[in-house]
Amino acid sequence: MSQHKAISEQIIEQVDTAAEALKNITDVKDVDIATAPREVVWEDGKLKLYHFLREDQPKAKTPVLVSYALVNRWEMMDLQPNRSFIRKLVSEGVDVYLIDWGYPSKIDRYKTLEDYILGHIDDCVDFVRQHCHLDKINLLGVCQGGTFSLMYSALFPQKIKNLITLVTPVDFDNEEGLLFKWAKDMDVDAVVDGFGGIIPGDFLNTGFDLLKPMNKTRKYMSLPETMKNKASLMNFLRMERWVADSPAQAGETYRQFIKDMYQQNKLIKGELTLGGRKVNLANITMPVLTIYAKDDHIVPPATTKPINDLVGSKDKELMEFPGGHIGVFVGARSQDLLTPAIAQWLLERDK
Amino acid sequence: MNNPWDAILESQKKLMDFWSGMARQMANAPTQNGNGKAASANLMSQWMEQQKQFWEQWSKNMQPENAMSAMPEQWRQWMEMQQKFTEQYMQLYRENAAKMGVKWPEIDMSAFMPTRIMEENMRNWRQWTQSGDQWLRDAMMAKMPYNMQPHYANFLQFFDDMKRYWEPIMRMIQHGMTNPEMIEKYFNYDAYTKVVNQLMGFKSVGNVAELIEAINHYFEVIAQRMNQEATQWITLSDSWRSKMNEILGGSQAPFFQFSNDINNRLRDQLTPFFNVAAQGKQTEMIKLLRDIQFGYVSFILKTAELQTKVYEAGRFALPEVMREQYEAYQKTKELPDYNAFLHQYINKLEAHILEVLQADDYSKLQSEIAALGVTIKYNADKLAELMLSDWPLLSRSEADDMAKEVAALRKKLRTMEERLEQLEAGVSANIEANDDKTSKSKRATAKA
Repeated sequence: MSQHKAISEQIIEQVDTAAEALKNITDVKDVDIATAPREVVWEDGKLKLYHFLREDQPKAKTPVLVSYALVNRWEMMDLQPNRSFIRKLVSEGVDVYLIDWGYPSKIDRYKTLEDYILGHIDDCVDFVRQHCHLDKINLLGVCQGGTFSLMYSALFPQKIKNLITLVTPVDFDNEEGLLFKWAKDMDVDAVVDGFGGIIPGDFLNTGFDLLKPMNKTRKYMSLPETMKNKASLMNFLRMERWVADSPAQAGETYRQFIKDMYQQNKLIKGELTLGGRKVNLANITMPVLTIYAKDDHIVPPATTKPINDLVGSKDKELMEFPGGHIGVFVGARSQDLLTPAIAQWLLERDK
Repeated sequence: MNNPWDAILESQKKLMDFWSGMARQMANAPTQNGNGKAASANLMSQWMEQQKQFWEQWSKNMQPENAMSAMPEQWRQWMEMQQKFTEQYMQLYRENAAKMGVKWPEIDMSAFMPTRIMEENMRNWRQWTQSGDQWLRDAMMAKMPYNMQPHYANFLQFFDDMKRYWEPIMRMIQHGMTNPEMIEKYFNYDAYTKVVNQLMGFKSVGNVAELIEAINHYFEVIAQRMNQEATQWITLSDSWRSKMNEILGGSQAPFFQFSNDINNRLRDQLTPFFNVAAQGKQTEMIKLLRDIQFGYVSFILKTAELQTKVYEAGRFALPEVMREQYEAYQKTKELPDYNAFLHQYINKLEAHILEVLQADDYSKLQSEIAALGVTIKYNADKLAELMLSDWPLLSRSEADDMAKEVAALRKKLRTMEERLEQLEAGVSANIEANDDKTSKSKRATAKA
């Protein structure tokens, strides 16, 4: 009969699992993301410039300014304490500033690439330079924010000490990534005008979802397993919150980016002009670190790697990250290997 | 007790203890006087073996995610086994008693069968697990961001729908019935397209001809109404006045009367001008309505074309997966569980659909649909703006003008900042040069 008892326990165990899952989900009160301590040091309309706080002195005297993409929100870089690119960078001794673009609304529909790059990024760079009493600072661009950083560094090389691009597209003439293919065929004028000059975040998310149409189903199928563990459940809910929080895009910037980058590939051809000035990537002579994700289906490696050939820097490096577009920020390997490597790269050039 | 789950678990534990005790008593009874010892031991060991196999098989196939919903069925099977065992046991006991000259009373055994109690309990258990499952889903839904909830709802629907097909699909796999025509008899095209719609978030166009007819009818009615109203058009201020009279119980509303008079006066004076200089508002609205109508029909047709491409692409994913699983079954004699099957199916389906998504014609079609969709929205917004042009509200076009002004100001400000920087740089360069010149001349004077 002891065996019978054991079987009973087995049943109980299975039911316990479900009970545990329910307990875990009902215990969730708040799905918090981006909790690294920070302060707003400068504001301009919807834009905020954050400075991440630290208890010790930074090892590097030159701070890094992070420029995230206009697509989705920067919070991915600080999803939760144990999966935070920002926290890790801070703990590795780097002083971190970050641009929060805010949530564009219809009043921003005529904002252009010039407004973002010659206006906002330049303002933030100048603020950090003054704040830290330095002539040059480090710039780290993420995805589209990396493309912006490349444009900025080409126009203002005197203000940038080191440049890091993370999963950043530069060669848009690519058929490997579906986004690149679809953007070429897009009637962007109809889309921008039809949406009344502001592109909804959900429209963009639909495009991303279609790249791997069954990803959501896979994710939800694993939910019972995920829910058993409180930490996994919280990680899942934080990701859901991040994905759902997709800001709209200023229509003119979107139009310009799709036409000039995806459809005409102007940056790589040296044909892009901003505010009447030609953007020449060869003007980038500061040290450059280009990081790409090996299995990135949003920004395939082939669209990123040419950065290393196009910049005029002598000190330049290509770094491969074994994972996908999002894994660069939240994966365990990002915490253990990538972020320390970035910090090390910056420290070595912090003279 | 933290929650009702604990209470139910506790009762389940008691129930199992009850059965455990009952079985122990049954095992001991025939051995006490030595009668039927061997037969009883035989029956007991057979029963134990069955129990072992049953639970081993169960724990092997059971997935945590279906623990809640599968439990009642499992419980039912187990109870049937217990019932059978009890009947066999009673038969054995009766035979032994007869050997001893004791006549076993002919009574309705079910009256004291513990399984009855358990059956009753199981009904509650089943009810509870079903509501528990729903509870779990609701709790998760409540924690999801609002714009992710439709995706999750779609998934749940898909998961449940496919589960209804799972049992026969499993049997078909087992017997090698993987011919597409045969599968389609059971899992037909409608069922399949419903699944694709759930997975892709499509809103099915359905019967295109019927839909277009309905759309045209709808727009004809609206256009007719608009035309009628164009001849006896009342301004918004007219409706304000009547509304206010309604609210105030028929008493006077001087402000609305006044604003109505002004509005009517303006309209009367401007009408001749509009008639000469531009199309009337109503005509423009009718034109927009027609644009929306034609745009919508094109949108439906193109969407139906795109959906058909996707449907066709994944149509043979299920037969392919079933064939693969049948081949695997022949080697291992083990059938996949529902989750494993579903994983394999969605992977295969995705691979097929991606082939379509990567095609040039799909990309162009998708772009055309997006452009048509947003143009309909644009025209609808414009129509709404025209309809509400009498309202004392900022219209979209006016807000758009403001945004333009803001953008122009931003540009001017940046240009001025750049000039200021250049000026500052020039001035400081001049000062430095002057300082340098002064100190040189001072040094020269001192030398002299």
